[in-house]
Amino acid sequence: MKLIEAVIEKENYSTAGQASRKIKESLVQIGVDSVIIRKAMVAVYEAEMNVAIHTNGGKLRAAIARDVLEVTVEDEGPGISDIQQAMTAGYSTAPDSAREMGFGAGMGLPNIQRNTDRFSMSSQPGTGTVIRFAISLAAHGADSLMGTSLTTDPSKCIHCLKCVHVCPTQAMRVHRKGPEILTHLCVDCTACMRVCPTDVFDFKADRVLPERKENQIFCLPEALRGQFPLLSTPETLQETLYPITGDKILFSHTPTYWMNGYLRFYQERCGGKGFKIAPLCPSISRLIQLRYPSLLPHMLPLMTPLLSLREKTIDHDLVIVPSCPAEFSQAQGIHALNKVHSVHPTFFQSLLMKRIKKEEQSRPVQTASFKADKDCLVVTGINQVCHFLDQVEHGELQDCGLVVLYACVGGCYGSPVWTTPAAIAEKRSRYYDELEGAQRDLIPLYRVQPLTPRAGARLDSDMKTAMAKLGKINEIVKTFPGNNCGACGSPSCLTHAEDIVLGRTTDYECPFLVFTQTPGQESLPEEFL
Amino acid sequence: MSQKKINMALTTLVEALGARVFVDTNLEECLIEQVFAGDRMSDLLGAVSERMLIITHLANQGMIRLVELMDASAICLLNGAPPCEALLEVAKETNTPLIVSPFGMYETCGIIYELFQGGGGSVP
Repeated sequence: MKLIEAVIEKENYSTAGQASRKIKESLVQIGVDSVIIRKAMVAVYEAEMNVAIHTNGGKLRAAIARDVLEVTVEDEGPGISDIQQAMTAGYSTAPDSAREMGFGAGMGLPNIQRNTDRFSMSSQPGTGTVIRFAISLAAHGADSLMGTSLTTDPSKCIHCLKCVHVCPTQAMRVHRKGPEILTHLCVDCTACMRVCPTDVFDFKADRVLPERKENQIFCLPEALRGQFPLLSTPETLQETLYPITGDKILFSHTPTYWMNGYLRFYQERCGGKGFKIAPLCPSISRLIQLRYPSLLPHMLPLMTPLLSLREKTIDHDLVIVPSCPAEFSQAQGIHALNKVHSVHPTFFQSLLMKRIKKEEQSRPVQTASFKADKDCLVVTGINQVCHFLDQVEHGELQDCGLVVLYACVGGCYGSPVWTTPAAIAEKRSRYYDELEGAQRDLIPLYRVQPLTPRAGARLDSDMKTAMAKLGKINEIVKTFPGNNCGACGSPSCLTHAEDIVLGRTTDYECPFLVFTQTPGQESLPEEFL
Repeated sequence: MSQKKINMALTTLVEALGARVFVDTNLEECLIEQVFAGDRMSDLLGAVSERMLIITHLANQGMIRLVELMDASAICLLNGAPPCEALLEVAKETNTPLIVSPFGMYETCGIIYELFQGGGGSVP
């Protein structure tokens, strides 16, 4: 990893651009594609000029790590009071001196946004503005983040086909060699994980703790606290955790307390009116990108809690215990300047359980119910969510205001990695907050890079071949019974035909037809008589 | 602002404009596929790509950075005004041909537009 730092002086237009030059030299050295270098240069130079023109000076830090260039630009004020306005193309507050130089077109921030793969910005009027962006240096790098992090263990599969039927995006196949996930369709919703009777599905988070470091923060899911009977005080919990994590612990990347932040944004920016979806569950965002792209304009332009948290703790190494594969996927794509480790929740829980002493468990659960969600409509469970989104897409239900959707039943407390029922885990977890008297103020950060529709199934990159394949699929599907029984290992007759044409399976026959049309079968009833 | 896609030798453009050549490294080999004219730095930054001639009034620090960072193929300044020493330096360093048209932006673009319309400058 290479670090580049530079100070940007106020109104010094001749030194602004030096950091860009240094970064360019490094990128050329590494051999990055010239188109990507150019993208990076637009973003970095615009950011530098912004600081020189609009602020009292600031500094730029850039890290080039593996396949990503990550840049943080901080300034010393005066800050931006309306970020949305500042992001508007053509809006500028540049002084004449800058305009004479050809700057001040009001295209700086939009130019940065357009040329980066991730971009965030936060500002306090009076204190200053922080801009962070990242550019993937591998060609098509941004797309690779779209994959799934679910893994399968085919040796455990008993071919019960439950996962095939439950998958909301038809990404699951169970053919002869076992389960297979079509990664371009998977949204990490855990539906398969939940129904699987033999634990075929998992994700590859570490099963060891990372080396202890000074500036390390542990970020634990709230649901973790609900996995064991209540301890007498929050301090007891801290003490129990201390040998594992040290004293820097955050219990907040699962979304309960974030809901307030999204709700406040909804009330302030949307006037509390209209149908909006709060992007809390990362899996839901991906589901909408893939299956309901027409609803993308209804997504609040905010980051998920985990990404917001990462931006806020960017100066620390982070150890995340993700509560589901979707969170794990997100944690994968967010390190450069400081490391992000992901520790498997099951492993972490087992560590913790060993330390909990029987005598410290006390008190029945007594907490007043949480109030934030009374103003949000909460829909949990991927089936319910799909049902809801189907109706919304048809133009119904759009009077429901701010909506929070979770892939897991019971929200993040109901992730299949946890064993305690969601309702109990949630109640237990809130007990600690109540005791601490914590009035948490978790505000999600603005997401400036908008979500874009995700390309679903493509038969072929070449249009002509794709059309030919489509024709073939239609031919084959006519020979199938159309009852979508799933016995072949594909979720429907149409997808089975598709799998045959795309070479995903070599089992051409329909098991249903084989059973019902064997000649011996007609004689069966006689034998019974 | 104008954009157009044909391959044309930069020397053809220099001739047609009667432009003064200030930096001639790469001049002979330079092929132009697109032309972009404008005076707003953000527009220029956003537009630059390979084989692009940039026509602009800007001859200041910002322009120096643009040449340095963005690998524009060639720069054309306007109104016969010679560029400053620093810009010349950086153009030489980055092997970017730098020419100055005797005309204003309107005429310069007009002449180049005509050339491209005729497709006359296409290169074997």
